[in-house]
Amino acid sequence: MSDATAATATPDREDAPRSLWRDVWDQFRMHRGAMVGLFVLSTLLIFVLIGPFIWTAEPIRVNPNTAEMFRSRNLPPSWSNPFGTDQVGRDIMARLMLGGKVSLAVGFVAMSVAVFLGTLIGLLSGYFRRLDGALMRLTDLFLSLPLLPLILVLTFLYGPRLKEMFGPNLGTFFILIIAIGLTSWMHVARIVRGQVLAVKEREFVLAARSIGTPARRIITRHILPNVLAPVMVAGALGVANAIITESVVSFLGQGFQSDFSTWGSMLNSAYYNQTYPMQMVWPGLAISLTVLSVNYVGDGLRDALDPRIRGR
Amino acid sequence: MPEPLVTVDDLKMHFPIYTGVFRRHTGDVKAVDGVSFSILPGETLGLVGESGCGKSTVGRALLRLYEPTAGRVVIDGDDVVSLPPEALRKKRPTMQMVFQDPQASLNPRMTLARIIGEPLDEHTDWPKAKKLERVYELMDQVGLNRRFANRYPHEFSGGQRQRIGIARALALNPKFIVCDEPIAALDVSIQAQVVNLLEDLQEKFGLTYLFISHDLSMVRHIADRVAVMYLGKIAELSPRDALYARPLHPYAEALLSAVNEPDPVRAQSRKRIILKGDVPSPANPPIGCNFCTRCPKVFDRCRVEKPALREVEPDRFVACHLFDNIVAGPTGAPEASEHNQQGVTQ
Repeated sequence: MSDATAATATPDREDAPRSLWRDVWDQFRMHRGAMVGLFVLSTLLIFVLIGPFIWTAEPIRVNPNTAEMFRSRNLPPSWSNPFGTDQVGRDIMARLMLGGKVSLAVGFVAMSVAVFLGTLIGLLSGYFRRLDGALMRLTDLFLSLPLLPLILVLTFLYGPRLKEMFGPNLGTFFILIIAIGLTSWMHVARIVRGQVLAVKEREFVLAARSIGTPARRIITRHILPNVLAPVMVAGALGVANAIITESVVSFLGQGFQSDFSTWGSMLNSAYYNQTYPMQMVWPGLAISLTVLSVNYVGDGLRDALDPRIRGR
Repeated sequence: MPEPLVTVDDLKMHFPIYTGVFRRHTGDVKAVDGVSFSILPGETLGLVGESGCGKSTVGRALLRLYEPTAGRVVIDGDDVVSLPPEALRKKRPTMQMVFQDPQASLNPRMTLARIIGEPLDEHTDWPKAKKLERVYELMDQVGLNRRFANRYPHEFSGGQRQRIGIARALALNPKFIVCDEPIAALDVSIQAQVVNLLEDLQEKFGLTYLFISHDLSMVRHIADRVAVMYLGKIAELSPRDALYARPLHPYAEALLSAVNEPDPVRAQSRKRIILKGDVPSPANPPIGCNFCTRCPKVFDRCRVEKPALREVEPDRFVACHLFDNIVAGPTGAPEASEHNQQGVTQ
């Protein structure tokens, strides 16, 4: 260690503590799948957010002229309708853009709610033995409930009030993310609890206690970063789950109105119009791409957050 | 004689056992059962014993990483066992710990600078630059290159990781450090480095150590006094040289007879005392002396009455009925005629 003293009182720039997120980003870029996933995901986002400003076809309203409407039904892809038209003559691309905005928002926000709740409950019940019994029985309770009827009851009971407060679409959006979030945190909670039980017995947690780190900072500084990896995976799968659940609820009449488009509701209406399978392919493709790319991004993030994998 | 820095008085650490459907409290694992000793400032007390005898538990209960069942631990004037949480937090900087497994005691997701800086984050409100300066200073003191500040624990060797652990323990200028088998997980060539580092630091900062180990020759090297533990109790507490030259307690004798002798000629004449049987369960220790089931010199009284730790020679404390009728005097006592019975028990 003779060069320890030679390495001077003024360490050169690369030795100054670097930002964690810089390291994470550097490693993330090395993960090819994650970069492709990020690219696809941002393309989808640009498509649904900026697309409507460029492609101005009408996504919701049906042409009031019945003869014209009938002539424009179920058209195959063409220059005027790149993805074709649906069973009442609306442009599918415009509907995909509108529906994507809602589906992605519901998927991500509901997943965030579920992951937040699940992580919180998992951390608390894993770390504090006194809370463990009560919180885990609560988790079991939720796991044993039939979830779809529960969501329907929730939306039925509280939907109207929220719709009054925020307007029909925003109100539906809120009630959906709350209902989906409240019914899908249990698996995350169980995974997190199991991990916390393992991590909190490691000696570095004991070391932190001997330093005098209070429990809340032991959790955020030492335990949370070490249980994040499985949470990422669960979260990525949760996005897909939330998108599908939203479509099911909408299909059952408690979500968005049937003329309003989401990817899930487009899938459902196409399912009853099987002579034209392409109408099902587009929203299906969009959902699959979202799920796949979120999965890959989650994978890349998990690797990038692990310093043992993060290469130098 | 100076005031002791650490005084442990009848420390007990019992872990409850719950059994059955109703999780009823049916017994206790008496990991530590009435241990008393004191450590003078600047002194190193070695704590030796076989696996599972409660050495590590003593170390952890001392710093109140466990909640002791009973007893008092006075460190630098405060009874650690009864301190309320916030006062205990304020007290933490005076007492620190170096852990056994340097791999497990460092958070794999934190850089070296953050690991060593964590105590500073918790107990000081210094600006970032000052903390970093202190981290570099600590890294110099334990012999780590400053360029390593951004690296993660997995990038270091075992010895380097233990240096990180030591730097973290030193960060707040503690007075008392519990070294919980700091060398057990290290390669022999690295063990010497780490022990020498600990000695250097002790000299430089006047540290007081409780050095827990099962490596008897390493304890002989570093400790001033040595406590031998057996099944949650101290069997013998003696100055190092006296203990190694002539152990008094039959267990200490047996334990020390296991130390390897480097000189082959002397090794030939060495007599090993081989104990028969297993250590009794700490959940159900013998009624009498804890060592009575395996002691080569056991007699009737040992099986019914627990011996107390008494001073039988100046500065030498032994818990054994063999020494009951010997009064400690300035000249010491005539030694009871001892002979090593190999393998003969009871």
